[in-house]
Amino acid sequence: MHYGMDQEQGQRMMDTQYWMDRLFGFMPYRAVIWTAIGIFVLSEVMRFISQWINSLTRLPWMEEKNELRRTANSHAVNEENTQ
Amino acid sequence: MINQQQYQLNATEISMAVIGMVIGVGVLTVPRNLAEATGTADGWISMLLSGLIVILIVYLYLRLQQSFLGMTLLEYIAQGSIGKWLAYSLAFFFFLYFLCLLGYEASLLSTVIRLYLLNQTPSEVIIGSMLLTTTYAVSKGLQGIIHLSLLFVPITFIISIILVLSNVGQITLDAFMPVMADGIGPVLAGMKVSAPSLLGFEIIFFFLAYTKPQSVRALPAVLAIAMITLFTALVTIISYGVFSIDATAYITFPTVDLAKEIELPGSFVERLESVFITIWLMTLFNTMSICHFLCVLILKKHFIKSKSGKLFPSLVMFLAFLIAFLPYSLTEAFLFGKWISWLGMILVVTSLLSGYLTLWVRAKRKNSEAKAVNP
Repeated sequence: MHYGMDQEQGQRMMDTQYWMDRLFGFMPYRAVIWTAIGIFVLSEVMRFISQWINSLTRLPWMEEKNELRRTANSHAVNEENTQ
Repeated sequence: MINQQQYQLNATEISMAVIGMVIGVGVLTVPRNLAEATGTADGWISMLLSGLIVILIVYLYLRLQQSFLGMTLLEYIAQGSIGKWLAYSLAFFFFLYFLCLLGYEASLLSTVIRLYLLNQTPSEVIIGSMLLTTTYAVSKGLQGIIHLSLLFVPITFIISIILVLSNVGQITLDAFMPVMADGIGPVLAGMKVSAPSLLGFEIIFFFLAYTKPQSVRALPAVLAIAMITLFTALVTIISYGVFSIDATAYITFPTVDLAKEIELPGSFVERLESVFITIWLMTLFNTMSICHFLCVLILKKHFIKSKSGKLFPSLVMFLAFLIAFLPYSLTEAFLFGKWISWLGMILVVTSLLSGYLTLWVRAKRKNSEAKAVNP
């Protein structure tokens, strides 16, 4: 029992601790959870920076709609040539 | 820029992905598991029989896939009103399965690396850097993942075979005689552990949707499974021959220890297990990136129907990182792996049965509708 608590409070806290352990006892250590949050944030920051640089350096011919249009045009030219 | 949405796989790429996926953590521990389960030298027969069963499953699935080209099995099942809920539950369990598998592989990766290569490096750093790398691989889409398999699988497969075969001179064949001395019982008991070691082929349930119609053929996938089965049986035979059955049952990672046993003339090079672990890391990277990719794919297709889903790879990485630290010891990790294998096997059988059942019900309904129109 903790200092300054009466018996009932101590019992309640022990019960809470028991149930916390039963429910969350399988969870990894706190350091692991913080590392997981850290690498999640790192990954998202890197993705954001990479996207930002991509959007800065992207040229019109790299865009998907233009690529599709180019492919369609080349198919049409090929078909005309074969006819 | 290459259009990732329209990328279509061919039969060789599918086979390479299957090989890259199946050779994961299992190959390191399968001789020990078989030695424990059978207690005799017949583990290699269990392996070959399991391989035959998996080949049959793959063949049956490829026949089924020809009825819904360009779709995954879950998308096909989800087309009906009842099937939608079945597909949701299967998708949820497949997501859980691939997520747990990713975490489990990361956990064992850290154990092996700390045992044989970097004993001072914290597990958090090893697992974190590996998961960050797979997240980057996943960001390149299906094309990136498959091309990584194409790049790594031939190297890892050939070098692993060379390393394993280097021990042939030390084998004593007495350990294998007589074959099946205790009857078929130990062989069947061994199949309980050899069949899960071939799990990973279930990626075809998802990847065949991105395959060219002419490439949906059974032969390449069957050959891939046959190659892995033979490789694993070979590893088992050589482990028993070099260490004996009793010793194999007590070695944590017998396949790594096989690399340790290699003696080159003149002893110029030693500790070849480091080379083996480095090569094995490449194949584990394939397995992990495919699991990571499939988790993201399932999330995108079945739960949060978002075209970009940019946050998903990081989210999956976060969850897998936590799962990797759930087992507190190696024994717990192996138990966790056993649960994942059972989940995988149940999912494979359930999906295949659901697929055939859906096909049968729809064909029957179509026939009755046709009869109603033209009595």
